[in-house]
Amino acid sequence: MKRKEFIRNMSLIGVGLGLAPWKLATANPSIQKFRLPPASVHIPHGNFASSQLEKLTISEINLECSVQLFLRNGIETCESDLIVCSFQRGDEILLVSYTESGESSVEGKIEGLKIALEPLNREHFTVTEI
Amino acid sequence: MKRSIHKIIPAQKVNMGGIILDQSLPIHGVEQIDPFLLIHHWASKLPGGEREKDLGVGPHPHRGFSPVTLIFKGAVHHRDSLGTKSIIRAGGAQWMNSGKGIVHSERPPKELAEAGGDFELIQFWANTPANRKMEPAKYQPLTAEKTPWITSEDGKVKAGLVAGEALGKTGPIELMTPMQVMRFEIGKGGKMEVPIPKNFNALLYLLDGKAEINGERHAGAKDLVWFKNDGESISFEGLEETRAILLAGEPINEPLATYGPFVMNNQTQIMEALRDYQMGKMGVLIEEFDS
Repeated sequence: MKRKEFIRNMSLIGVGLGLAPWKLATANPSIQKFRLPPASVHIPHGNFASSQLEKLTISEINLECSVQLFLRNGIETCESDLIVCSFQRGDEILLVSYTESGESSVEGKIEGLKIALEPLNREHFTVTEI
Repeated sequence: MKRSIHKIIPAQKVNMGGIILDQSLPIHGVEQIDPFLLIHHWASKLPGGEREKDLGVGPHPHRGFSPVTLIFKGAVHHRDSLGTKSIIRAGGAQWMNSGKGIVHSERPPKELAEAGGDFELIQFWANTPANRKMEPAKYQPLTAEKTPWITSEDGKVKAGLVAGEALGKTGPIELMTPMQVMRFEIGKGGKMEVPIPKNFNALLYLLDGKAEINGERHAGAKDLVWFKNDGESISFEGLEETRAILLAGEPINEPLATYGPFVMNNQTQIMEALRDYQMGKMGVLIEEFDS
């Protein structure tokens, strides 16, 4: 019995290690779900490009993703801070932005991919090949 | 008639990618004092023995406004995607209209990084009206020698006119909107009255020292004095050796979307700016260093 449990647990660990931590299972296999990388925080001024952006690279579809948080006044967070999720594949760029006060916008597109932020917590996004 | 004081605002410390700055604008509840969007005061003592490329602020983009640097100690090496390389020393200014997009860096020059010394600057941002935001970028350097200087009647105040008109002189900077930008070295007991058009919003920032403003209230180091638009001049008297700047300008009165390095009129335009930067449309700056 103990041996069976040991084998089962090791198998689960093996499967776990086979999955990248940012890639999550979905009910529909044509939709892939990923965790967004941590946001780089910017205040108004010139640290925009000097900050090291933490990027998520999904090599299977050649997609890079980063998240940036622009503090409106640089002192404290507020409802109008802007969160921008950037998706890039080669020269194609898709930017999805939103504020906690309810503004949102989408700029650009990536041919053949439908990318959407999870509507509730916005910690994840899904990619569907179309 | 002199303008009365609306508020005196103390600067707050902010962390810009590891650089600690004093920020007087924006502050809680005040996003801008039109057309001025941001005031950052950066003062540090460089220990020496460092490389230029490890100091300052590396390549970053801007669009839609004018970032202006007034240098008080040391020097600033400006490089940009237009191909400009310009070192301006204490007493001078670097006035950049970022227009439709530019990438620039701002660092203490090699000699200062290696030898060490004082480094102090103020960067303020002046907004550009919507109909001129997408003009080509332009960099205007101004040395201390080419700045018109005015001395007060008592000989104790020295005023540099960076931009606009005041006290019979005209500043050399070409402006996008009417503005008056001055820097002051005020001796103890030194007095000056400065005329300002009534429709301009006006701010006086003290880098250090202490001064009596309009014979009314005292302001100290890192205070921002915000004046009402109810008169044609302001005056000050140095209670100690004091350095200050005056920012006055005609308000633009347009919707504002200011995020990170971009100042536009709405969120969609911010997204377009981010996309254009990521696609390299604001130019590329590859810095070259001797060491």
